[in-house]
Amino acid sequence: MSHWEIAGDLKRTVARRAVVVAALIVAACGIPSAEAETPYQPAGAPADPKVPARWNRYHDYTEATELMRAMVAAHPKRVRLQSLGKSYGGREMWLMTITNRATGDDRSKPAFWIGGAIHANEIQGTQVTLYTAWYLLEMYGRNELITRLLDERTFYLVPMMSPDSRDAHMHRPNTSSSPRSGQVPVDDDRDGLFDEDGPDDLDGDGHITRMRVHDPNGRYKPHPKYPDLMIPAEDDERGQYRLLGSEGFDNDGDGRMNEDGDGYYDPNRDWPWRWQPKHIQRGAHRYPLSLPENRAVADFVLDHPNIAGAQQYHNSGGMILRGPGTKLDRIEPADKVVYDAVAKNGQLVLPGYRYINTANDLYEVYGGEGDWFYMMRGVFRYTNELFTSWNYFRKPSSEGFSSRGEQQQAFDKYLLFGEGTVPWKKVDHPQYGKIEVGGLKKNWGRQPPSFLLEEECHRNMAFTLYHADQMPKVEIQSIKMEPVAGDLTQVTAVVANPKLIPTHAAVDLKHKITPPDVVSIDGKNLTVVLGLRSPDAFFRSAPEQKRRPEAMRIENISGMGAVHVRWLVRGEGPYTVAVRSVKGGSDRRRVRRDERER
Amino acid sequence: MVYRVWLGLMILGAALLVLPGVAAAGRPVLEGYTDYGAYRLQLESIGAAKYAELESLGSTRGRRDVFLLTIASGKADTKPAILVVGGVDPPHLVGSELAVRLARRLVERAEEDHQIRGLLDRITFYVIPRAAPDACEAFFQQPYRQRAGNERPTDDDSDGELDEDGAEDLNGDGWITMLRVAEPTGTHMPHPDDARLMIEADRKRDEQGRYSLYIEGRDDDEDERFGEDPAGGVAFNRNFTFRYPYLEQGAGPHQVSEVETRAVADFAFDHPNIAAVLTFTPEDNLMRPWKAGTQSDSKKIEAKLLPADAPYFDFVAEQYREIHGGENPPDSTLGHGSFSEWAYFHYGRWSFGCRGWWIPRVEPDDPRGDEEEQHGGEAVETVEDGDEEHQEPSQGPPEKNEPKEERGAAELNALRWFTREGIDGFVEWTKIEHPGFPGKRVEVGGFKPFLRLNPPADRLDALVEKHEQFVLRLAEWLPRVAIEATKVEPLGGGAWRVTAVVVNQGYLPTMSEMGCVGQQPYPLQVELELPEGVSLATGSARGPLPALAGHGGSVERIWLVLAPETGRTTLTLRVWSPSVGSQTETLTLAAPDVATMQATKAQKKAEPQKKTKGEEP
Repeated sequence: MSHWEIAGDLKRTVARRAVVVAALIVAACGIPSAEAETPYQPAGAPADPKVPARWNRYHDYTEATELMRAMVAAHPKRVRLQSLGKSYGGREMWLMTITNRATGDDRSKPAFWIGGAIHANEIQGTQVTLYTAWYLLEMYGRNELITRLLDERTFYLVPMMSPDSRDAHMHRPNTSSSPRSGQVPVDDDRDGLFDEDGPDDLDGDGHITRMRVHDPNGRYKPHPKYPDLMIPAEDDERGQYRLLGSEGFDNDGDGRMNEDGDGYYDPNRDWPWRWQPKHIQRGAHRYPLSLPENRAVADFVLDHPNIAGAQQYHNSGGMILRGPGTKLDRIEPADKVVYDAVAKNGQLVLPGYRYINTANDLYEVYGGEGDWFYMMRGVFRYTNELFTSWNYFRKPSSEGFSSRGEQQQAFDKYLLFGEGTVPWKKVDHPQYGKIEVGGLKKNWGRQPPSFLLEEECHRNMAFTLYHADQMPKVEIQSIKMEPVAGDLTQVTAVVANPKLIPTHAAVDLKHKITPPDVVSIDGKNLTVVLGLRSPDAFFRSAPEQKRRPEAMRIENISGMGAVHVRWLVRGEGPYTVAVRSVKGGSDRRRVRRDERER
Repeated sequence: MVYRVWLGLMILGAALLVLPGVAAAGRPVLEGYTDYGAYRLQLESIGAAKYAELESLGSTRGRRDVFLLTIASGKADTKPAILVVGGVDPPHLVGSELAVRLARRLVERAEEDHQIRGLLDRITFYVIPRAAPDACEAFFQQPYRQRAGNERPTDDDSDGELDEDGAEDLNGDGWITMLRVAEPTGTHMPHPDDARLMIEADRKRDEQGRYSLYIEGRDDDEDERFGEDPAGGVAFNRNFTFRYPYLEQGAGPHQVSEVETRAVADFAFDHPNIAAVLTFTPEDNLMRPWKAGTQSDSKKIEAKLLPADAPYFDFVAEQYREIHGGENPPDSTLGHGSFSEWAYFHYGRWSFGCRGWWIPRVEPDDPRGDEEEQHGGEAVETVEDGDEEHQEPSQGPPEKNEPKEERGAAELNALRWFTREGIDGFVEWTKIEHPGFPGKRVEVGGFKPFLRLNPPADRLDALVEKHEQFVLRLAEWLPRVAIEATKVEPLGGGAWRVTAVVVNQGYLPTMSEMGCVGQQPYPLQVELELPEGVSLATGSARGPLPALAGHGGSVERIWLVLAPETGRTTLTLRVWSPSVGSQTETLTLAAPDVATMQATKAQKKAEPQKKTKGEEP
């Protein structure tokens, strides 16, 4: 229960994974894998990657770390691995920075942020993030779009937002829903003891399932077709069992069971926007970013205002979520247009996923990570709730988010051949005596099975790459010079943003988050007399910028839009026109005087 | 007419005063206040005393320590504690000075006064005298300007540059005051009673503004604004989670973003034994108690004192007022991200805030004032920015024989008090050349910073005595539990019924209502220790108890114990919570003989009487 035990787990894991590590190192040294020898392979991911990786399995912290290191070894020019800090349990908060450094360093380009599995039990979020990194690196130079994205953009990826609990989920007894918390101990029942009464694996199988006891007056009975599933007896029918909750006993003798387990806090209620304490928002910890993992991430994001798009991966239910997280807020109307447009693509590439907003369609979240990105950083972000019961039989299913129903049982029976469930078995319980435990295994219920996992990775990545490609990108479209009276010359520059997303979201302008874009003119023998900006080519009532007209401050360049800047200048010689946008990148063009008639 | 005379006298008085010259660098605004270096030495000397311990909770961006003094006898953290915090609002440096002096007096008295020592056997005092040490240094650095923010560079005007447009001392007098620019578009005009004061022109009275006001300085970043992005930073008292001022100047990138706020918040959370918090701060609830109210927000986001806690806050405030004796306190400041409000609304503790000192009232016709009345005073503006919100309108009685001009009343009173005290607190308007306003008449002048918030240091000792008295009384009001009326009834065959009544004998409830709602302080816990071979027929040996009201709030717990029928079995009963303390009682289960049966009966008779004494929670 303490972090020392976790550290122990970690050591054992390290030893166990040595073989895997060795295999990856061999692979990174360029020994071709067997698949590459047959020239005919499916379209999609490369069959002969430099870093061989299987995407129908899960990686624990050590394996994921080694996989990321293998990517760095194989693609050193396009990926960097750094730690943003240590988790509570001493694990590294790994960040991968992916971009083609030959076309500019990461900070000089608009950047896309991906964070995986802040709820560590929502385990496939990490896999999608790792897959995205791998795919971008392996397909660079092979695929035109990917190559362009890495030339123009930066990707910041944190595959494991909650690494301690990722290992806890994998290596310690848990359900598919635990631990949602990180591992900082919290005295949930305020009795002076920390995390002393969590669930207990009574049958020692590594899964926390359910407890039942035979009771002729109980109100539950087994499902006639799927006996592992407990269902309520009919109103006029005698039941056979009483349900006793999650596997566990009263460890601290206070009469309650499982009331003080790992944590508890919700790392996704730990973010600054609309943060509220735990009696208003269950799961809030002490104050925003009081958790070391989140603090490390937030500090990095605050220090990288070039982040212009963001994606978070959770499970489950098949959702593309946008804000607001609380009914106190709304998405600015102009921003909603952008959100809807990107999500439209998402609904196309993610069958079975619904595009909804958190506060009004799901539940209210105070202090969620997503609202912080949008409301306080001015960044468009989505949260995808990975895996959907639609996937059981590729048709709408009423069994949504962490359901336990007939279709799930049918899928388990006919496609997993029962591998998803622990059948009921007898155990001795220290307080209840002879009872039975059984139910869903921890790796089934909210996560895709092996043969759907790779698909989930690819489809979700495709959605984020579309989003990333729509981040703003400023470019100087044209520069025109015309003589005016006397020795004055009129220089008109058109600076365009040929992408869907503006350089400043409407909320960014409202909250004054990101400084304006700057369009400047600079020549050694040039004096700027006057500077004007206009939304179109006509300059009918263009505002003048009196101070520093050589560096025109542009509040925003809208999506698929442009700004026209006009200077009256005196003097001779070549000059440079440049545009700098915090979220939209930069562009510059050198102009010689003899280009006047261009 | 009276005013003309008074004004003349004052100007004459100001001219006659022999004032100290411009303070040298490093000199305080007021002599006797301690800069960080001297403060540190003071704390080291206090920390060396027998009942004190000094430690640093963290080091700020300015490399100054957030010091904590623990005043305790023996183990500090296992006793209920009172946390005293000063220096949360750095321009109000008097708060820090009072906290240091309070700590020193407690430590010194503990060595000679057995009553204080007796108190320290039960109660611990944690004192954080200067929670925001970076900004407190502005009191000692020329040019003087009130500063709340620490040394984190910030981009207040969102132009991509950090701290690039601060204030400048244009007239070189060592003080940052105001600029007034004569222009027909101005919004301000001179006060009818004292032309030095600028008040906003009122359209309702057909008044015409003649002046525009700016902070003394230049437009360094050429954005047509003056001093809008000064050095500093994040304000300690705007960085907490309750009513946090998102995206505003001084609020920081997010709540609890700074070393000093984290250090203090984490210290508080790590010390569940803290029962009450006393803060020297403008968010006063002792002179002007918070008004209780139903929470209007449908989201159950508390914004007002909970009605169940109101009687206790009112009583404590009344006691404070009696001890303090001051009158006409300024309006309480409504905090945004303040520490003392956080301590109640989000930390769930009994949280009291007080300014400690304010400018007393000086009658217009008596510039010498009433010597007895050191602490009276009309409502005083405490913040220069003018964006401060008030919880309630000033309740001072309307002045007699005065024109109905309420604008500037506090400022006029401050000027009268300055005159009485011989304080040079106002810079007369003087013309300067300002390149930002070519062709316009520009003058520098106005109130000097700090002097309306902090008294001369010779007042501090008298003030600290009052606050010491208050804090010692507060210690007496803390909840105290007792295990009353234990009862052991043999039921035969080795079964026993054990009953205990737990009573709160202190004044305050064991938890505030806000603490219960917010689940922050620990509830009382009860534990019955069962030796080997002893078990319960049902229920559990340990668990939480409900909050107990003050002065006799009680709860009864019953256990059905299975123990050997013969011989004596000893059970230990313990009731505890970190912020209330611990009580232990030993119970004996002995084979029933005549003597114990009688005793039990006697106890039974006594029981109802005892119960009627206490009030039900």
